[in-house]
Amino acid sequence: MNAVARTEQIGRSVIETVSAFGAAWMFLARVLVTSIRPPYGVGLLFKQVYSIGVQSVSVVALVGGFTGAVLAVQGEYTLSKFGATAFTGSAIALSLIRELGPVLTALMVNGRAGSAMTAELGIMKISEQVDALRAMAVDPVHHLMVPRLLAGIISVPLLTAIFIVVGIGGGYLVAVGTLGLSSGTFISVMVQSVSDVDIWSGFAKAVAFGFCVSWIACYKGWTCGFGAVGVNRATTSSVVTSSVVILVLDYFLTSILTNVFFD
Amino acid sequence: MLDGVNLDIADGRTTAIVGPSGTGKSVLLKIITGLLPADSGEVLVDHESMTGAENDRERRRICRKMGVLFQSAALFDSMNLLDNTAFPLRHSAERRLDEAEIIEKSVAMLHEVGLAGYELALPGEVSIGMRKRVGIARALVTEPEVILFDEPNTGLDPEMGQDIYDLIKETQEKIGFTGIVVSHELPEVFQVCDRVAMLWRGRVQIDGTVEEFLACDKPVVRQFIAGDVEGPIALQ
Repeated sequence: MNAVARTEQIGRSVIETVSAFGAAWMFLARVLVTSIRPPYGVGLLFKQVYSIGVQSVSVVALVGGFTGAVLAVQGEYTLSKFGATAFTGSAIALSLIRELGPVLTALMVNGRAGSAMTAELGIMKISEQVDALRAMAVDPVHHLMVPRLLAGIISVPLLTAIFIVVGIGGGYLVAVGTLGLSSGTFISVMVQSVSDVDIWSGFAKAVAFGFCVSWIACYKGWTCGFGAVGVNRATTSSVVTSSVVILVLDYFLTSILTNVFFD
Repeated sequence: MLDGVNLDIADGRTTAIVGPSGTGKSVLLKIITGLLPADSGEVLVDHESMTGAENDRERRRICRKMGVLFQSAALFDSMNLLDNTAFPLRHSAERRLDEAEIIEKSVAMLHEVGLAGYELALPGEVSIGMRKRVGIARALVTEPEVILFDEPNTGLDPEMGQDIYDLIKETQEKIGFTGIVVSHELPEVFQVCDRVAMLWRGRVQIDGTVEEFLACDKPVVRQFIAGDVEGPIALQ
């Protein structure tokens, strides 16, 4: 491949990426504008909250419990080097509330519900179900996208709360039951070290991640290509893009929230 | 894809749009229903311009005058057959029926298309022929003025295909809707239509009664009727 062809290829790829980025924002603007217009599909929203949120509870709780347990083992080991094992409870709680709770919950929801959302919307598109909605004078953005976007924003923070609570429980069981730490010390140090700002910053992250996961899943389903290959690509792209966005956004949100609230 | 298409679909009659595969029949149907935008020209539904609709709301209002049976029936997988049939009634912007009336009307419509007892089945649990029947029930339940059928017997064996045509004929006689049937299957489609328009290379080759269509001496029409391999269509 000569230099001109390579430059053309790079240029085309840049244009496609920028176009897709712009299209994703246009899509989001359309969903947000549509979301404020009646009729408000409360039933559809509950259905999606059930699908994204309630059906993810068991997997999120399981991962949360074991994450807390691992944090207890690792925390106790690390803090013992400084003679500070009393702070294990605090380390577990702060790690879960500020960082691991929102991030791991969003990644779990992305893997379980985000991929399903993209695949479902993609299949609806290629099997003419989206066309059928429009032919029946039903706006597919209003009927399909708005409830999913809102359900993601509602569900991820609630699931994050479950993740954190179960995670702290798992950490407590391991720290107190297996590693022999004092129950009173674990709880009192944890309560003293966790502030409202820690909880609100974790909550803000969870809302942002829930928004991104459902936005990307809806957009990838909406723009899905034809056939099984199209659905396959859209689903893979949705999961990968969301995972990367969650981790990149986490860094920026952590930096911003730390500078604003903890300086 | 389409070029200079000019069709006048008579009120209360059924017109078949026929032609070889890939000639623009389904594209024309999607333009008529507003699913695809037309580059130029105008689609008038009951003297109202679908293509000239000022906004989405206006387009949807005109849309409600039409019902569509899609090639694949396009039923919602997550809903049972009753909910699929009731869907346009529940989600109509001008919902005028309460839930009990919607259920009653949808059940009656499913009975009408021969699906009594299947109300709670999911689309994945019934045959493609039954899914097409539900598609017809869903298209009819809002009592639209125009119904469009996109390849109604695609994917069906001859017997099931005949069943669908019989159903279209029966309901047309009973309800008296204006029908547009897109198909490439001759002579089966003649059972349900009063007029035939043939598309080829995006242009209307003939628009007339079934008799006029069968008597047309254009080579492309003759080849399509005879189903010959040799001829202008083969060169496409």
